[in-house]
Amino acid sequence: MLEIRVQKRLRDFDLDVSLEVPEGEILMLVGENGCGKSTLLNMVAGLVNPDAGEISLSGEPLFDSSLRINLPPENRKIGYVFQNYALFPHLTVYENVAFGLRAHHLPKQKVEEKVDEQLKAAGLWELRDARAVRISGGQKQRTALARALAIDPSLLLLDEPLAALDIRRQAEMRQELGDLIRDFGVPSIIVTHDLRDVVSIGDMVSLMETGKVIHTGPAEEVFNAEPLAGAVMR
Amino acid sequence: MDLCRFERCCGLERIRGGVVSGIRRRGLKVGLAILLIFAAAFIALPVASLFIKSASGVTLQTLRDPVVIDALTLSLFTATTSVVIVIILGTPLSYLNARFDYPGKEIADSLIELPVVMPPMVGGIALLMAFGRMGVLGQYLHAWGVNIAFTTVAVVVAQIFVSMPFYLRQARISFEDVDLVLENAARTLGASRTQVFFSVTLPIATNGLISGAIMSFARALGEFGATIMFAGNFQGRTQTMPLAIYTAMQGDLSVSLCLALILVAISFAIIATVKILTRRMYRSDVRD
Repeated sequence: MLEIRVQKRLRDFDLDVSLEVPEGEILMLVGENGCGKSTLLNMVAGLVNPDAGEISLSGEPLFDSSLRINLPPENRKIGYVFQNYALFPHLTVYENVAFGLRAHHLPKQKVEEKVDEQLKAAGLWELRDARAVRISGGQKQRTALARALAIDPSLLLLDEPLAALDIRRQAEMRQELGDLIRDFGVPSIIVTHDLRDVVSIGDMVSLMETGKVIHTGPAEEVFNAEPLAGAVMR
Repeated sequence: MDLCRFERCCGLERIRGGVVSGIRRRGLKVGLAILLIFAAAFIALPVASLFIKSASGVTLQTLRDPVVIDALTLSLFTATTSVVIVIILGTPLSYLNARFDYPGKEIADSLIELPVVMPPMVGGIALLMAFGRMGVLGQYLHAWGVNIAFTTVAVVVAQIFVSMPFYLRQARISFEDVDLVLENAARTLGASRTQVFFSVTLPIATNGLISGAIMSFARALGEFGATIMFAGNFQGRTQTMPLAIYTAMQGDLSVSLCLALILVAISFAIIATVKILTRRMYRSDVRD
């Protein structure tokens, strides 16, 4: 279970969020641009420090202002798929997926096994030697996800994972992405703007507005809950 | 019917307007072409003249002249040493300037740029006042038996002083160009700050860093003013190629020409390398 209770003073408003994501559930985080969604993901990942609060994963604190605990991002074991994927342009698809395993100093053979497994599962085996900048949007998305999953993360964070794809690819990838994350079975937060993502991928949905979560409920309720439908449709 | 009305009726006015603008455009093109030819000739003529005048005087014998050999060896040794020191000191400094804010950053930035605008002779006197035997720091070094001025070390110090800003500026731009999100992605994947620097930031910035190092090397190789003031002009010890060209001008012109030709060749190689690297950098940007 991921438990978040954080406060941070941002330039235009105060972010104050309490959220829980049970083991194996997917929380869809929606809200207008600049409402603090990406900042919240970065706080969970350890890339931005909250002013106060606690973040814990399976009972282990990642951040606790009262106990002065703040694990650096490299020790949090979080699989983060960034907006636009943030693939390393100087590395091949293979090296991108192997990056996290090498950073954890896994033995060479173990790295090879894991990367091969991820590449084959993601249908990227043929592209393993291609430079990450030379592959298509959909392939980039799958590489970014394979790279995040390769380190066996205890939590998945995805920031608009489908937004950079064209409409047709979005529909194909939506199903694939949902199945893959669900099979992985760790708590996940997905930031999205798209109502279709919420219904077909998510278990729960939370709506954020100027730094606060104003509604949380089951994903299928997205059509009924007035503030949610309005916000997502916008 | 006056002529203008007649032309308007027949649509001739528009045709005449088209013809006039065509003539104007052609005139502009011719003017620009002449300007371009003059600019190219202004640079090409002196360089070509070097080759033309060298043809009769410079022989293989000149290449073996001890003045030429000493100056070439010293120049390559000192410029290489300078650029290696500049890279070692300048790379972390540039990264710091690109990624972090600290008190006095503006002042540090201005100081870094100062040697570029400061006349090299002034730089030479400044170095002498700092590290000379009677200098602010030099007097203490002298008391410890360390003398820098008028030695090969002084040549290297002068070259570092004038050439470091070229590397610092380029390296900082190259580091700033590396997307912070890539560094963040590397950290979430388990890389420490040091691992991120060596496996993500540095490889992506490499072309820019090499280009900066080459520019810095070129500046060190051509350094004259600060060197002659701070290191003197002693053959084999402090007489680098530019100093040897200047000295030989008063005696054997062919030695001067020979050294000048070598410097021109090196300059061409430097420009070509920087252009290739810049193009490669641009291409990878476009691909991103």
